[in-house]
Amino acid sequence: MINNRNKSVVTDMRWTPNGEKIGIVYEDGAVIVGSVEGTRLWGKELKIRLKIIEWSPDSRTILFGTPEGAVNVYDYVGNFQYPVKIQCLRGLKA
Amino acid sequence: MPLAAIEWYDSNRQGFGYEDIDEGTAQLCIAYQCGRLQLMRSLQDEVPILIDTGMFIKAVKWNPNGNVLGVAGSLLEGPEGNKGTVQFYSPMGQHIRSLRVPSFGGIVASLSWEGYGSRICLAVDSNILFANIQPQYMWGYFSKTLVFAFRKPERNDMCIVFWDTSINARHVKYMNRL
Repeated sequence: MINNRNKSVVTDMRWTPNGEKIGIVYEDGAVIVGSVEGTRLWGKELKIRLKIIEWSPDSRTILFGTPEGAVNVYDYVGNFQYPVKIQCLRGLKA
Repeated sequence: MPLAAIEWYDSNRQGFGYEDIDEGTAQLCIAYQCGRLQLMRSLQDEVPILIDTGMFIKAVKWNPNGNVLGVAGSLLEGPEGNKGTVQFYSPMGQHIRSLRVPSFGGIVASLSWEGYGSRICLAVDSNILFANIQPQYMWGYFSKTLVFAFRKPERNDMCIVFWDTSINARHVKYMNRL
């Protein structure tokens, strides 16, 4: 599988723990999920900028981290679920 | 605040240390470059473990057993500027150890665990450094026989080696809940 969107840059990519899928995130919010066979399973343009992707151990949930530090939970086909509550930054000035 | 890393340990992976992992141990680490991180037992963990590492964080990685988190970056507030450092934490949030790493740039850019969790690999300046981890082995000694236990990556029980040093013979047994 060759992906070239001819815009933005890839900021992170991660295989699922079961090794069946790979998630690729672009700085401009585009997400591509491909299979281990090399086919493109789905793509989506999220309305947020992206820096980090991580799969849950059961490969059914995706975490997306933004450059601003937010972490959002999506399901494995790219539907937004809810934000992760960040408590470790309390008491810090921006 | 800029994120450094999100690492979710797969405790369901076949052959890994389930018996080490209970409700008190976290699997999900969300780390920020400013040195703060939170360890969560689940996505909706209302009381995550909060840690201020005092570091500029570049990378975090769970070891293959999920019982040690390595945090790489540089230690802030040193008298001679930043120092390349790796800190190790338990999944309950306790600080286990700090490892100072000599470097020109003053930062450890990345780390990776070997499959048994007994070595780590560090990216420092233009070098790749290898370090041995010495865990606190369970061990004993009797009649010239050394007995020690460790975990194999493909199994979820403990491997116990009986090493008779007088005839240099080794016997291996496997045991749960050692």
